[in-house]
Amino acid sequence: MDATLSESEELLRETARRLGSDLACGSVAEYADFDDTKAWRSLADMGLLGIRLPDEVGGGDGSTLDQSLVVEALAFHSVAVPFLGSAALASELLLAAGASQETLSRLASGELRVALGLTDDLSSIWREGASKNAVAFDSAGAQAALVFDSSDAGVTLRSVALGEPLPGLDLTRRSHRVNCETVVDVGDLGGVIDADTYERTIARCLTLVAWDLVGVMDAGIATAVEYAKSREQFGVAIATFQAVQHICADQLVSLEGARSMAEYAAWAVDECDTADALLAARSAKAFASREGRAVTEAVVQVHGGMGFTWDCPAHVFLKRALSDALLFGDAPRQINEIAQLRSRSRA
Amino acid sequence: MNFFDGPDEATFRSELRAWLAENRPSKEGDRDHGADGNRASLEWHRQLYQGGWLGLSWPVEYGGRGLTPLYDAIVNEEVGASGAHVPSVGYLGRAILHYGSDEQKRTYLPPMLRGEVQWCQGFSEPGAGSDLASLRTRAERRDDVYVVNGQKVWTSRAQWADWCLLLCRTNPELPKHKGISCLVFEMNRPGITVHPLQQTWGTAEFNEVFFDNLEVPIENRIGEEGDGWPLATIILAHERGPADIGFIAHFQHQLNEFERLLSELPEERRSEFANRVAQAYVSVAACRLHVLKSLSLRAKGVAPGADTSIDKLLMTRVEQELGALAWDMAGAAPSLGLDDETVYQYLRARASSIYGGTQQIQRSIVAQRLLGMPRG
Repeated sequence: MDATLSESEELLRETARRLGSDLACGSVAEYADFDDTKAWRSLADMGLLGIRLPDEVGGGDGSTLDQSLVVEALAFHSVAVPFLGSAALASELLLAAGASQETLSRLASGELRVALGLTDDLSSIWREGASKNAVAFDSAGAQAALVFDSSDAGVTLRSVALGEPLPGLDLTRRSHRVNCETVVDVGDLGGVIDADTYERTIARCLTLVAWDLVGVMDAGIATAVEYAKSREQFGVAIATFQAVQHICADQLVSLEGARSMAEYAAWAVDECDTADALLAARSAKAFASREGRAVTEAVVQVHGGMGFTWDCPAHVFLKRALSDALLFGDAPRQINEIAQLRSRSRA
Repeated sequence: MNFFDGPDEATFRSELRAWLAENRPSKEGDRDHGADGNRASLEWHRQLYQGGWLGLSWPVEYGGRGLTPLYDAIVNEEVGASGAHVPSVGYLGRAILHYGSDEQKRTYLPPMLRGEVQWCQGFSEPGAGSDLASLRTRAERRDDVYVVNGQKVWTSRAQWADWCLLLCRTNPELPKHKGISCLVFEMNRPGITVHPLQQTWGTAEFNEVFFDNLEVPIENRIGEEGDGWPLATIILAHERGPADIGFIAHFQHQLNEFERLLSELPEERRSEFANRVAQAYVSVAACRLHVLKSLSLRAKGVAPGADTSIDKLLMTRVEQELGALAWDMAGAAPSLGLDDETVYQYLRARASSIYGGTQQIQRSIVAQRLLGMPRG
């Protein structure tokens, strides 16, 4: 048993963080017209867009934990690229469906960008009857959105057209309406995803979102602590006040709890049986969703009046955490599911 | 990262499971309070030790098994799942291990691990709680003895303890952190008076301890004069790590109880509490997984430091969440004096943000030593 990252995982984390720092916006104002072409190119060149995809298609053959570490690093730097939506989550779905090598290789090279088409509460992948409208989230530059077709054997993927852009609250990510009836050919999308594979894939998606929250929380706390060290009141830095120190300490406790759960989930979704994988992923997502919001709210608080001005990055973290919390189901929804999983495992 | 047991860990776990199927603590051993609870807890301690399940990460020459701390985690998981508790095993001993002479280690550690000699920790004083380093219990050197005068408080289990590990001031001239030393002695020496304090849940585990010209031989000093503060820091770091004190097992046990209780609740309240129990499951998982990470770091040779305050703060959150849940699920029975166990769980959980260093002290440690925020 070893609950720490291996040397190669640590190295990947550092590499991804360095790249994230290079690709980050220098100020809040830059998000509005950010062109992600060069950033997307860099991620492809570093082999990160295909990190989970097989070797044969130019991928990195990596684990969910590897993928997670990249998600975390880019979230930490609030990089305005659709890595989570169009690389991480969509890749999981296409892998699960057994999409052709040709499709996967275009994903790895960055030539193909697809987003997930979600129900309008962002809690699940859209299928007929699930919600009136579908929305694509984290869909900047996507050529299509993936939604489900249900059959007796399971679900299959359908790629459909993005509609008009939605205004969106999250500064770092774009969202669109989806025209579920307009099929767009983006290549072979594989076949049926059976029930077991489906559950494991959802577990992976939940885990990846939990990691995004870990990155956001970490960035928020670091920013708040730096601000508190530089901001002076009563003739001293506010970081010397216990009231401020204790807020920050509590947030670090939440972050480290969330990180430990996300690490375990990333390992479990690759290694454990499906029921355990799903329980680990829902637990990580429930914790990260709840604490992610609380932590980023505290980050706003530490920034005082600055915290609710547009130019201060505190709201960038808060808004990203709020949308992450909804993705694949918010905390109360996860808790509900966990109650059922636990009662099933007792029965 | 690999959460599966290695081959040796797997063998160990299955042997432990088989042993637990045959060996149970007596009923009172499940409640670690009161004189009966203390006796039963010690019996269970000895039983576990004889089975080969305690003191695992201690060196073989001092009665341990020389295994990694991850084996302690396995014991916590399995003993907890069986519904029993894991006795707190010698975090005081960690200081003796670091600072004691070879003879002291050989004398004190094996009986401590075996559960044959029970120890108490003379740290807090009426005027030195969170500000522990301001302690005033005085030990004056007279020839080959120290003469100790002063008072300790919140000394857990002093009334049942055979030995005491005491922090005392040997040099009042030095700055407060520098003049402290550590002495160990038998509790039946003349000059010691123990006065139990009744806790809010009714029983009395902690005590005031008075020293009136207590004589302690100088060879009973652990470390050099002035080593008392760094030595105390080691003890507190270990005390704050939940695995050393068996908390994870206790949490798992409580969760199992809650899940069992759900089926006994009236239908209209079941789904509300099912969700709160699920929420508690998540909180326990966060604490358990963070502790596993801390233990993995120990196994790699990283000494416990300020990061154990994160374990302690997570543990406090969990314990208080579980205590509140126990209270709420029990309905009116505890308020009517008809459910002592729930009263104990709830009130005892309130103490978890005090003992081992208050929640506020832990937060200051985290802020200053992990986040690098300057002292005011």
